[in-house]
Amino acid sequence: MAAPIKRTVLGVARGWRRFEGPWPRSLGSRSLALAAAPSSSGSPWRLMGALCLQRPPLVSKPLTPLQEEMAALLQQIEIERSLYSDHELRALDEAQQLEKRKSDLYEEEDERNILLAQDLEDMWEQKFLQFKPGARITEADEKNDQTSLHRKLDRNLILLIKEKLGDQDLWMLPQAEWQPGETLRQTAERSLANLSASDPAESRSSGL
Amino acid sequence: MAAAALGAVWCALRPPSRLLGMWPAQTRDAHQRASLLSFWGLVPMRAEPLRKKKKVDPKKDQAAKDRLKKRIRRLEKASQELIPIEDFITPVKFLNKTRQRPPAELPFEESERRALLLKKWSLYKQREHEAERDAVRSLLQAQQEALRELQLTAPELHAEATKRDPGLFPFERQGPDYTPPISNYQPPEGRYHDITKVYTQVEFKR
Repeated sequence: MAAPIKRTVLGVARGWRRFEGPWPRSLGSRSLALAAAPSSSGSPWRLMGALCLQRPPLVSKPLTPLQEEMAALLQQIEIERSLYSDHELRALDEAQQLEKRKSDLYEEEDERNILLAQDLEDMWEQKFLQFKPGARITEADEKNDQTSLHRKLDRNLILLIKEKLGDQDLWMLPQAEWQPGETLRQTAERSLANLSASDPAESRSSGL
Repeated sequence: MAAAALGAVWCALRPPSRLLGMWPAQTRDAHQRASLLSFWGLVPMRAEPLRKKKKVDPKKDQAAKDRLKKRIRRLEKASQELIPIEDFITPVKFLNKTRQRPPAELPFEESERRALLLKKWSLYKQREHEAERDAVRSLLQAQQEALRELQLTAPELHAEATKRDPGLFPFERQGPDYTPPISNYQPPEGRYHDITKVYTQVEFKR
């Protein structure tokens, strides 16, 4: 029976992946781990309630080459099928006028300071370059610092704790032993409270 | 003489109850009579007979009110316009022919490349959809298996686990953006000037 239980445990831990929260972390569901150590009360099982605490992705995944090509193609098709916008019409008119002036060789007495559509576009480009968006690959990624929350922003991160189980040190979900009179959800919340570094107010729990 | 006259007035006043009822009215115009004790002054002689109310009047009033209501109803029905959906109305300036682009003439290689890319894309999306479906199915299977094991171990915990969570819905979550939020970002100062057109539709209740 030991092998099927292990499979169940792993399957269950894999299976609970519901997440939420505008919060940096969210409390996922509970998983039930059946430990085979017999207790003195007569039942052969010790119930543990585990906690799946997740940090949902803040940033979208980078596009694959096929997705990039498709995105570019869709953009092209959209431009081809659209009408000219006001800005584009203005740019076309100004281009025509410039051509006429060059071909006529008519010298203007005073240079008019008109803001061309091209100048506007350059200004917008400059403004865009001045803005520095947040980095998608953070410092924690580069240092490979596994204790910070601000790393791997495009993935779903789950909290693991190194605990001694018998002789071995294992990376497991934070667990707490179930006490009679409480539900498994309360057991999981208790194990969240026991984690010294966490602030329970930051996480939002969903009972899945 | 005065005492006898007073006595006569008192006898005249005493018996009839209707005269008693008219006592305050009589004292009102006391200044108009020659003397307080004149008999003819006491009996009111200048009143009109009471007018009878015509029975047809309430019906006429009701008919007039109904006519007015009918007119109001007709006006309201005429003015009940539907609120226009602005997305469905093409603004007139976009019907101008100068706005239309010249049709793009694609070279043969370009059209071939596009066709091939669309085929690859449809295959990719089909595989992606199947993978998602399988993932969701395996999640649900794992969940069902775990609940069955829980039922075997602790039925009361299973009952607690299968109860509805009232805090689960409405479920809201901000999706992933392209770049993470910048800490201590100063947005530019400014004010919004909201120019959306607000239509009100008056509902006439019968």
